[in-house]
This record gives sequence, C-alpha cells and structure tokens, in this order.
Amino acid sequence: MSGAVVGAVVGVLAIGGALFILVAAVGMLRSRDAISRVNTFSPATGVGIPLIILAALVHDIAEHGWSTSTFLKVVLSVAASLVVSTVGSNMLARAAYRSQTGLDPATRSNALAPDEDSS
Amino acid sequence: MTWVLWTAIGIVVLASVAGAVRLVRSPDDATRAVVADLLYFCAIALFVLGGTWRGTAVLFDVVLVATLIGVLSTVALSRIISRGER
Repeated sequence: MSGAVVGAVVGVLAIGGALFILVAAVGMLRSRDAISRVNTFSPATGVGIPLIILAALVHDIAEHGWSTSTFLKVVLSVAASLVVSTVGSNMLARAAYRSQTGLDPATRSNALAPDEDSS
Repeated sequence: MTWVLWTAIGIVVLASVAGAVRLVRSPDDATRAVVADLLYFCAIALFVLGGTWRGTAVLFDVVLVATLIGVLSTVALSRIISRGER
C-alpha cells in the first residue's frame, strides 16, 4: 500500500471520528435538559471513538505490519466503548431522571413514569 | 499524515472547549456528569491521535484500559446524583 493511500484512509477515519465527537459536544450546548444531553452524547462513544481507534490501527498496520495482539486489543477496545459506555450512560440517564429539576416539554418517550406512578 | 492528525486534534480540542463552556454554565448536576463523560472521551481521543503521531509503543494498551475502566467515573457520579439509590 502506498503512503498516500494509507494517509488518506487514516485521515478520513480520524477526521470523521473527531467530527462525531464535535457533534456530541454541540449537542451538549443545544439541548435543553439533562436527559436530552445523555441522548445526544451517544455518537461520541458509539461512532467517534471507534473510528479514531481504527485510524490508529490502520496506521500501525501500515508501519509495523500485522500483529494479532494489537488487533485483539483494538477489538476489545471498540467492544468496550460500545457496550460498557452504553451501560454507563443508561445509569446516568436513570439518575438524571430520578433527580430531575424540570423536564423539557419537548422531551417525549417518558418510559419510566408509569412505573413510578404504580410503585 | 501529520496535518491530518493535527486537524483531528484541533477538532477534538474544539469539542472539549464547547464541553467546558457547558460545564461552567450548567443548570444542574446531571448535566455536569454528562459533560464529564464527554471530556473523558475527548481525552482518550486526544491520547490516541497524539500517540499515533509520535508512534507510542503502549498506545493500544492504554486505550484498552481507558475504555474498559473509564465508565467508573460515570457510575460514581450517577450514584452521587441519585443520592445512593438505583
């Protein structure tokens, strides 16, 4: 693989991942309550960080050749970013709902409310 | 290759600054917890991009530990917000 093609692939992956993180940060500013912010945070951990890690993997393969241990570490990192961070965000959303100061009227799908009314 | 990585670093720094602005002017505690999570992942991204530029040997080990253990602060903050309840 020539250097230009590797540079182009790494560039597309890295800048794409960085743009998804920027989208999540802008979502923090534009959302009007905490639960909406937890929702707009998901592109950062689901797409942004995996793309940046994949850019580092492509760069590493181009420089040092294939390494199975590095590939396994990358697979575990991406799986952790997809699964573990999602569980953490779910816990954060539950805590934000339980301690809410005021739900924005535009936030719909209030699935936790019927359970609280019956308890 | 270098300018591409530095462009990506610049975009992530911009996202961190936006998160910091929201952190200073946040209306409640749950917002601060979400922004703290965002800043943590921005730090991971900055480390990966900087390590790719410099050819760091321990790059993937650090990233593996960071993504596996990093949820700890989010869980701790969510327990603090809900005053110990689930």
